Amino acid sequence: MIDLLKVVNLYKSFGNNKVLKGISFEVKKGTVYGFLGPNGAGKTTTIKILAGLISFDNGEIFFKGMNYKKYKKKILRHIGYLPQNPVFYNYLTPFEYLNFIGEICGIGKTIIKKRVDEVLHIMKLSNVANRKIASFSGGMIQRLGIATAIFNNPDFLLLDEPTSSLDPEGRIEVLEHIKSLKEQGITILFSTHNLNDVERICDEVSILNEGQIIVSENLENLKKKYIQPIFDIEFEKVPPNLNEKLLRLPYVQCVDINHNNVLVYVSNVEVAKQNLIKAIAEFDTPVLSFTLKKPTLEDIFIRVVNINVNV
Amino acid sequence: MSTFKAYFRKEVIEGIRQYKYIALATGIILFSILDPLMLKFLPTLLHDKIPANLINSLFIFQPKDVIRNYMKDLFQIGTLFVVFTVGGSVNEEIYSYKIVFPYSKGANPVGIVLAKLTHYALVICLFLLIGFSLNYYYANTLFKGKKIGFSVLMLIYFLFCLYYLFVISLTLLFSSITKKNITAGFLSIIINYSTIIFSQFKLFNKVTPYNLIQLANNFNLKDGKITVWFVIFLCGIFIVITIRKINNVELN
Repeated sequence: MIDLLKVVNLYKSFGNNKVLKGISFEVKKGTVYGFLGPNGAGKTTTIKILAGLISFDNGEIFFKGMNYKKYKKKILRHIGYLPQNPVFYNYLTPFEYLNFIGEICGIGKTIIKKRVDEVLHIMKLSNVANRKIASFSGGMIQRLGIATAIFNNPDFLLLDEPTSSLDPEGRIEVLEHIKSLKEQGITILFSTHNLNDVERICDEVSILNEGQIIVSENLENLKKKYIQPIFDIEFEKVPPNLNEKLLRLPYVQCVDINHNNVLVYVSNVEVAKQNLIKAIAEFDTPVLSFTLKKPTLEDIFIRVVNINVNV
Repeated sequence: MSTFKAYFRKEVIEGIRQYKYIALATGIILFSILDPLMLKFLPTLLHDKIPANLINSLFIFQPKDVIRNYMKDLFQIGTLFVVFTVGGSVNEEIYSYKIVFPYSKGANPVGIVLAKLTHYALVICLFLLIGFSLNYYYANTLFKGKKIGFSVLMLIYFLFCLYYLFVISLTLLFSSITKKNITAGFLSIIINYSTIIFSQFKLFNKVTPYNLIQLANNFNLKDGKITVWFVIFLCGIFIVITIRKINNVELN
């Protein structure tokens, strides 16, 4: 597949605060690229740079082979951007706002009219097209945000945590919309700190932490390598030298002890399923619970950092 | 041009729905009617408190005096209405992130600033025209004495339009460098009112925007060319700086 976007060694600082420390990644045409990371990792900054809202200190960006700095205006015409908290002129109606956006994009009047009807229909906002935005719910605001982002028929869509402020129903709805946009051939860069969202729609994933990409994989590889279940064991009292003894087992990658709770990260779940419980039994300490849990983002970080350290 | 058109239309809707036109009309037009009526009825209102001979000598008003009184109110009160209406125009776009979507669609800062300037300038010039016309009508209808010609009125109108163009461009500049409407408004008011002090010095008089008000008060443009051109120059400088400020803004 062809690269639509190529980011090379991107740096950005705000005063003394180094937000991006030389990140590089590539987004292939027609894919959904997930940007995963905790708050403050640099996801929003990267997306804002790509959306032309802030500058960058160093590095290079290429969009369809064009240098971003040189052809910024031209490139922006092909990009749609949805901010984390979209803000509109609340006294306008969606119909008026989209007309306003259409005019800014320099589209002809008849095309604007057609496109307004189209995007309002796609985002299921036709019935509230003439209602003031001030009266909209969070979900409706987000849908209007997507409608605005896709108004200029972008090839590339930047979505900054589009589901973070939504209830579960709204989240699923927005994710379905994103899926359908992908089916229309739009390439999407999607930032989130929700692992479920990534699993649901992304093809490729990068994990950002403290301004650096700590892992970049396609979803399948990421699942195999990092999104593996974790053994969550609760002891009545944690036995002495548990950490060292467990780490001696060949399939154990990392052990995280928190009071009487122990998280065991393993490299091979199937082997661990058969053997870990036997190893635990050898400690001769009462075990209150022994479960396999789905990893959270935090768990993946621990695993990724651990693997990188070992490498 | 597409940004200019889009923003101009948006500003018109905003003016109507955010009651900005009502605020501006109140500050500019209301006194054009109130002033002549007040001056007309002042002697009647005060006849119990002041001796009749004093009233007759103190309150003799001619149409010129009525128009001067309106000009005084325009400078003192009208400016306040304009400054606090325009004050949030740029900073609200930036700091409440309303500009994010337009910017991400390639909106041109030149178009944004010029649309705002043109919109407010046109609206204020229109309100000034209505205000001066009403004031002129009432002044000539209610008061006896030497009447001023319509051409002189147009001269005054032109000077006030230019003065308000200065006020708008200065306020837009402050709006682009401050975060709050009220801060931009106060800074603009301080500068506007302090121009009176500068106009007292002969050295600065001709390059002080307040000289436009003084020229209007004298119903004369004599020796006013320097002031007119200097104020236009200042407006240009303010607008260029405002555009540069918006252009360099980081929407973080």
